[in-house]
Amino acid sequence: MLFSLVWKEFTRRKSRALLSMVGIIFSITLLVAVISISKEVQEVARKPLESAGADMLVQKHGEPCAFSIIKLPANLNPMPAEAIEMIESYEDVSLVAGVLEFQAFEGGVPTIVTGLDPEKTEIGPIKPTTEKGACCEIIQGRYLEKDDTYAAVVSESFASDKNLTIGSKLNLADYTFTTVGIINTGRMARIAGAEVFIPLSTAQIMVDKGKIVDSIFIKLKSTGDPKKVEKSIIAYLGEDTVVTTSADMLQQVAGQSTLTQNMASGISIIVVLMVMFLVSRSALASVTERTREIGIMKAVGWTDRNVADLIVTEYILQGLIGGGVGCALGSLTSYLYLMNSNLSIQSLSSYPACASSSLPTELTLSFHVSPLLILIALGISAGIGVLAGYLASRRAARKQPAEALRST
Amino acid sequence: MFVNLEKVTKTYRKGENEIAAVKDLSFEIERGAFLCIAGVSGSGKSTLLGLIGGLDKPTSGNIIIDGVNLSALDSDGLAFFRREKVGFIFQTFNLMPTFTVFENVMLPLMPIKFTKAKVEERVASLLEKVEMLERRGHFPGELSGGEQQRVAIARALVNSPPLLLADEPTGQLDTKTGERIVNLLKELNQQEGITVIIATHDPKLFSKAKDVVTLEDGRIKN
Repeated sequence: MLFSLVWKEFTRRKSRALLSMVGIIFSITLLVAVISISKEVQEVARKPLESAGADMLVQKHGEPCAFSIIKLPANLNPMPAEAIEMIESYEDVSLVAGVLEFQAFEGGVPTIVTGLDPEKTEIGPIKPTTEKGACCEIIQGRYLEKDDTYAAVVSESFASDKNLTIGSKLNLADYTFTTVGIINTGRMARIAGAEVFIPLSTAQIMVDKGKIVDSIFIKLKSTGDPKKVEKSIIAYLGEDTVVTTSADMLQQVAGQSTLTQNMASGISIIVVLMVMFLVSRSALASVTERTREIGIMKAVGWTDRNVADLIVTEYILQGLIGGGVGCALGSLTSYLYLMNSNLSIQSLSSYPACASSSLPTELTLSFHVSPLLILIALGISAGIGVLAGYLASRRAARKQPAEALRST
Repeated sequence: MFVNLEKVTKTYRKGENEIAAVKDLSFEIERGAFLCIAGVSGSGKSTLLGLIGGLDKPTSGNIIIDGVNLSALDSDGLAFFRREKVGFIFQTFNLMPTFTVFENVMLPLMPIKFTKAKVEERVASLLEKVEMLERRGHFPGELSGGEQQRVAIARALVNSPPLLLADEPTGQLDTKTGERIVNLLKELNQQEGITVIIATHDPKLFSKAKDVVTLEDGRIKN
């Protein structure tokens, strides 16, 4: 009977109920949108290193070198390959792989090539697999092997664009390769992602700068200290070395989306507190407005507890409906933002706009509704309702029925 | 005695001043009485009715109704007392504006765990008694003053109280409608033995009452 009474009050006094709910709707919309977006940005910022099986990336950024038919990416400077062995010797490090990414021009069009160590399949831009649809599924042929020299594994889109099949010859600058495998590299942003993958030793011959690499992937041991490793790397490779971790990437990506975790949490907490205050004020005002009605209820035998139950149930209902609408609007806002955002990790990989295939530096944001977030948001909404209802019912309980009936 | 007042005083604080609405009142009312409390506006009639009905607590003195000393009851105790022993009828009807006629009559039963069927049967029978059953789905704003007061009487009776307190029940009604309401109260008193106490300054009501007590400045005049 209590709930049906609450529901009737809710449906008959729509404007007053709506007024109380507007604050809750606004705060929950903001909370759900900000947390969903921030969570997705964090998730996506972790992906490039995570998909490479690495915790850290070492590069040297510098001035672009002069044009030649084989050139290093615009912002990457070479590092000695012996650094790989040095880093491998650190006690905090578990795996290390160095790659040499460069551009090979053929008829004025660059092909993005990455030279990698065929024996290191656990870390780096390509982790070959036979799993359907996964990156990097070997669709045809095989992956690079230890004794390969002028063998190339090409991305599916590049193979399709250049009509390559297994055994096809592929010219990169003045060098001819045999296509041994075609892989699905997916559309996800990858560090040192390329159109063609060749053995690292062959890449070093083509670039002709000795035993060099331009990106080093590092996987730490579970107990490894990234700060300590970073310090040792900079001491060895020089102050101009850039060491990137997942946290740095988040900062870079979050910078583009203007949403950091701290900012998201801060905004959410402030908004929830503000709405708690506003809804509580509105509930107290509503009790004052309904003083006479509360007096009537008490006059006909309702106890303070009966009145309190009614008021608290009313505000919990308003909180839950407001929270539900807020969750829907927050999810919609987050969907619209994520679907229209264009985030990238451009600074980590110099993929030129004129390359024949699309940029794998773009971060693909996807929309997910987190059931836990929805539950928490509804819990907060109900909590705001309980608090507002509790404060309002305390005020209602203080009113003597005779005094309440005298109010106009 | 059904109602027993012993040296009851009720004072209010208004700014710096203390105003006594009821002063040192002592009197008794027997079960089944039909009593009018008369007096001009501000004489303390409504305050006295509120005290007898447990809407307010006296500043000093004892009010004993049907053996229950109201001065000893806390807020919940007074609520249960009002629920079980008293039905109120107000000058301004005091119906819940967002409730239908049926829901208004049901209001005192809402906190009690009765079956829906039992509640509906009780409410319907009372609405029939006050000839308002056909308007059960209407809201108070859609009713005339006399109709609203009949709904208020049905609400006052829904818990079968032995005591009915009416504060200026005809104050907002025309003569004919007012007379109909008073006749209804008289009928309830005579047929069902309900003790009826009416606070009024309408002399036409005095002739209907068995006893009249006149208040002046919070004290009994006669």
